[in-house]
Amino acid sequence: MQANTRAKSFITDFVRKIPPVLWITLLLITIFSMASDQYLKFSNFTNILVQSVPLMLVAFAQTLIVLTQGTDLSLGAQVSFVTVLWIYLTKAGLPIYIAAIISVVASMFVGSINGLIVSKGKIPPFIATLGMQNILNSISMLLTAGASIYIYHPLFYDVTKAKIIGIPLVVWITAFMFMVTWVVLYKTKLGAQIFGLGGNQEALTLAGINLVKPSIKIYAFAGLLTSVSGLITTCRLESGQPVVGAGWEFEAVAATLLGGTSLREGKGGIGGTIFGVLLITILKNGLNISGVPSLYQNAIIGLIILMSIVIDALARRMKSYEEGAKL
Amino acid sequence: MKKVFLMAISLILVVAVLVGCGQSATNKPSESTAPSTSSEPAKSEEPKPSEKPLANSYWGDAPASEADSAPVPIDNLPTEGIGIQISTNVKANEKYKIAIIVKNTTNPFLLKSIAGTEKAAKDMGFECISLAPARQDSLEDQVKIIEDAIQQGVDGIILHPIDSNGIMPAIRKAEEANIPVACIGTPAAKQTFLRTGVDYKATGLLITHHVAEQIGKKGKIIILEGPPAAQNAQERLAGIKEALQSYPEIEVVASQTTNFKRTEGMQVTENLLQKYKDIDAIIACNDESALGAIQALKAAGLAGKVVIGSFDGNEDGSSAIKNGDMHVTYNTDPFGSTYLAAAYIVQYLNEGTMPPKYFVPFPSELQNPLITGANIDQYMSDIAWWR
Amino acid sequence: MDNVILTTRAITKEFPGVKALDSVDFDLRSGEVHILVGENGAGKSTLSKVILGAYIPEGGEIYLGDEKVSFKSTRDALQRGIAAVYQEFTLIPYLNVAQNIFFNREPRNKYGLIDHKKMERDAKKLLESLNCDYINVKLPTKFLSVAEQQMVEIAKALSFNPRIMVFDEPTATLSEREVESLFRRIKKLKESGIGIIYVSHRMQEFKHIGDRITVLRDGKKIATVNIDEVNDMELVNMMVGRDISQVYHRSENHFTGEVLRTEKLSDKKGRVKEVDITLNKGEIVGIAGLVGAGRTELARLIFGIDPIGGGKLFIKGKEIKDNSPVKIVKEGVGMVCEDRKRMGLALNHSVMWNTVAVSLKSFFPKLLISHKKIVEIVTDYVKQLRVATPDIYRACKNLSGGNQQKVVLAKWLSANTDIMIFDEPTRGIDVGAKMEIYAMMDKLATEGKSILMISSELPEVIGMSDRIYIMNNGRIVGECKRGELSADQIGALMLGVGGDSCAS
Repeated sequence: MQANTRAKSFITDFVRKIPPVLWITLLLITIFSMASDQYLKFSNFTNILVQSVPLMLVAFAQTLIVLTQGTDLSLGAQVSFVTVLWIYLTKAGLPIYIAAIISVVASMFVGSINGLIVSKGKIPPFIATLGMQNILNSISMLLTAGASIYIYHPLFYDVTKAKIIGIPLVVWITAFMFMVTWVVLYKTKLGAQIFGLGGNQEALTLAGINLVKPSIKIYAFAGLLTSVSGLITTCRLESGQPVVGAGWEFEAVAATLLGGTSLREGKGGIGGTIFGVLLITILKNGLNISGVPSLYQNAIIGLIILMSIVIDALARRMKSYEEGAKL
Repeated sequence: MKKVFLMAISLILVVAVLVGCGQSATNKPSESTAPSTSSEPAKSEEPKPSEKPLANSYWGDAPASEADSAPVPIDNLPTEGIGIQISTNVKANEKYKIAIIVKNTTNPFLLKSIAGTEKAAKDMGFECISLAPARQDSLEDQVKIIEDAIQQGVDGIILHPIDSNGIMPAIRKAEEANIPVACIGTPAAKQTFLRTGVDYKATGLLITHHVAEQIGKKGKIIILEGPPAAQNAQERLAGIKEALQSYPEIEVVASQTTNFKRTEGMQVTENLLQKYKDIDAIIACNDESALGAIQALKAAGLAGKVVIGSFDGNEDGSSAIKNGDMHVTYNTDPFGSTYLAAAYIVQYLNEGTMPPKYFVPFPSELQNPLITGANIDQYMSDIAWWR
Repeated sequence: MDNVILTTRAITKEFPGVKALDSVDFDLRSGEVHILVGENGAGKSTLSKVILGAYIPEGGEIYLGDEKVSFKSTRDALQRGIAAVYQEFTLIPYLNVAQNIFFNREPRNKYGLIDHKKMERDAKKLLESLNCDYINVKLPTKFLSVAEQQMVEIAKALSFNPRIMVFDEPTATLSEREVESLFRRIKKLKESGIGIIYVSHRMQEFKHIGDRITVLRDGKKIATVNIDEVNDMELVNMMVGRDISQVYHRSENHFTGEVLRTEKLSDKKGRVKEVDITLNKGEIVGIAGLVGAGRTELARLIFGIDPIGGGKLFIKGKEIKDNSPVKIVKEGVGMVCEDRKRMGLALNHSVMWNTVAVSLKSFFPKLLISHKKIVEIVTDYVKQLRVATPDIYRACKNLSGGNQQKVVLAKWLSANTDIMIFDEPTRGIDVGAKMEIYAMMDKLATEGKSILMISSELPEVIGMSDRIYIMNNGRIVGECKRGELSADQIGALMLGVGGDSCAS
């Protein structure tokens, strides 16, 4: 009998559950548009979307991993690795599309190795992926001798310039990858297993599920997402950059947390992550456009991310307090 | 609830105050939206999609490496003097918005680049916006900053590119928006509106010739290289090696990297001194590694017996020259370089005047960029860019 | 016995150092509730896990009807119609009810994606068959009450169309009303012909629900009897293996002076309501009550973990305001709790450091710590309490439950604690260790320490306490001296029914 009223409150809860990140983002937009007359323009809107794309894809990947109670520290290195490998293979004479496919497969392979080490080797994801990060960084460096590598190809330009109904192609690609991730997370067995790994591993074992297979699949899928991010980054920079993704994994964790995904219990989803990434991108873009000196920018970004997460945590605690009182 | 509310309020305040600060610091009269398009000779070029993606209207489609690096006569420069003495007669017709975009905010060299632009803004009457990647030396962030600067409607960009090739898409976007980009130091892959700052290869040549003269054109020398992947270090090393070819009696006993760092300069020199006791000269690819080498020499009791040549002319390097520990360094003058770039951009925005050529090395050789015991006092009191 | 659906013959299961099951025979008929009982560590959970395929036995055979089977995993057992409702829930908090019920067996639509509509429909049907249609199948299980979660677990088990169901301590976390409704549902399942193995150690439940009962002790089967042919005392004797008066030995003792008193003490959440208790020097006071009656909460309140919501707390005549564990420990109170891992021990640290964790400061008021002195003190306690550890540097996680409990005890003793709160002091430890703990409690009391003991094992409370308070729904509903009330009477008070009406 209480379940029904609780179901109702669950719906109102859902409305209230819109992560604070959303209204913090709206708040920032308001402030920035007051600060600069250049801000609220359609061109800046697409600019922000395009800028958020590479981190967005990495953050989707990170969200999946965080939902399984892991953290993948190799994601940024995977992006760098893909940019380098794509250019390297193309330079070596492979057709550019084949090189792209190989790079994607390589990234998924790297992911599956992560999954294997984490599940079969029972190594904490943090450590396993840290090792992978170093290995990948060093491979990228070896392939490029430390500097960036470059090749001319019109494809890069075409990808970044192409628009469909006024929205850049890369944004459509990201939207498509979001759909795919969403389907995986909510419409397939693997998705249920992701929540299971994060929420109650014992349950999976008792259901007779071998944890190795889903782990490999999840990390490989994360590798797929990062490789798309890597390909788009390559197009944006028209070069293979051995260090371009350094630190993205942490920004992706920040975006994931901002989006309401919890580091515990397998709680959350990828919807919120979109807003987490947008918050970070909008913040950087707005600070640049309103001409805040870069010396202050890092401090502001750190402060706002921190405060957003604290506000989020407080709001959540308050909510569970109310829930506790109701029961 | 109260707590959350308070947090939210303070968050709003923090953002508003900080954005407000940035705003007031760079406030500009509202009439100056963009330079009137009629005054832009270069605007005839259209964004050309895929068939010619590397469009560049200013100097054709030539790669930066093919640029002529001959110095421009002093009289032809729009500025006078070097270092902090630099001045100009150029005045901006409108309050242009010019962005100085650097690689990070920890390197004193880059900070002085910003300072040079700020002085230029004051002297010439334009608005200066200084930007740097939030993540140090992140190419991806630098690209985003350029994109944002274009959105903001800047009139010109002075840029320290993080990567020659990787920066090209962003530069193209700027040029498609009719924004001239002047590169300092590392150039973009294709010729942009202007390249200035030092010609790294020329600096290598000049210092090496000077050192060779000092040791009587013969003897044993050590070269302390920069980071192997850094473009400026490579060019500088090429200059050093080229100059050494004209001295058959000089033997390079060792050439090793010190990554531009003082500690590594010291370690490498210490190790090399174990093997080679009778060194005549050391050429270090920047002041920091030279200072490390001096430490090592002092410890080995060889101070003053070895000729040391280096590059940058930074604060500690200048002191070493004054103390007689170092013999020669090169004034790379980031302050003057950006000032000169700003002057060319303002001239272009005013009347469409192009620079005399794509690469205008600065400080030009004619302005005696070498710092030695002879001119160190004057350098330190009047010119030094780090002051 | 032609309707026997499951038989085990001479099942043996060993864990490193322990023979968890020693040649156990067991059989289950269709339509019966067969209770599996024993002290903790007796092997009842192990046996049920062997039947469920979670453990693979070293020896023995399992028959389903006449067919010999051997399960490699829980999945094998599930396919043969053996499903379980585990004590620890296997629900995934942020998947909804339907997703949990059909976890990893989700129905697919023609695109190969999960058919949520069908899944929810089927889940609803299952819950309706359990009269639980008030549970919203779209709600993440995180938002369900414990009882509702258990219904989902049962529905999940039923979705496999089992012939045999295992319930492992199903009532451990339920309120009385929820227990009643659970029993109604188990009876319904039984009537539909499912054979039910019911693992429990709560004697008061057996007669309500059981048909036959199998007693295990130290991995061996002691007996299988019909439930109405045996009384509580006989059962206890079978479980414990010796006369109860021997197990719970108490020395003659005199109580002098009151050391702890509460006056209308309440907490802030309404779990403890206006409790008046006293504790004298040298006395063991037991607090009996069902899970959820507020016993643990009372202990937490006294120890300062939860804030006082009303009333007064006096320790050694001094009123304690703004209680906190730090303050309470300073007054000489120690707590040995059920969850040793979380509250009592740093499991990764050595016996030595755990023993001196609280007392370190009082031993060494100065800056430097004498390692030698610590070793002396700890070695002394290890000997005194007979902690079975090869050396004092061993990490506590390597010790058995009973020995961990002793280390917790040593910790408080070394800190000169004279009031001890024991919360389920013997949960999860074997019978031998239990007796040692009891002996130690008796010794402590004779030495003049005072003990407040909370336990859900009624024989333990009755056997050890000088006085017993009975709690129900946050209140003290009764008090008796040693030997004044029988187990039945106390049980009735615990259930909230007065007098004799409870015994059935």
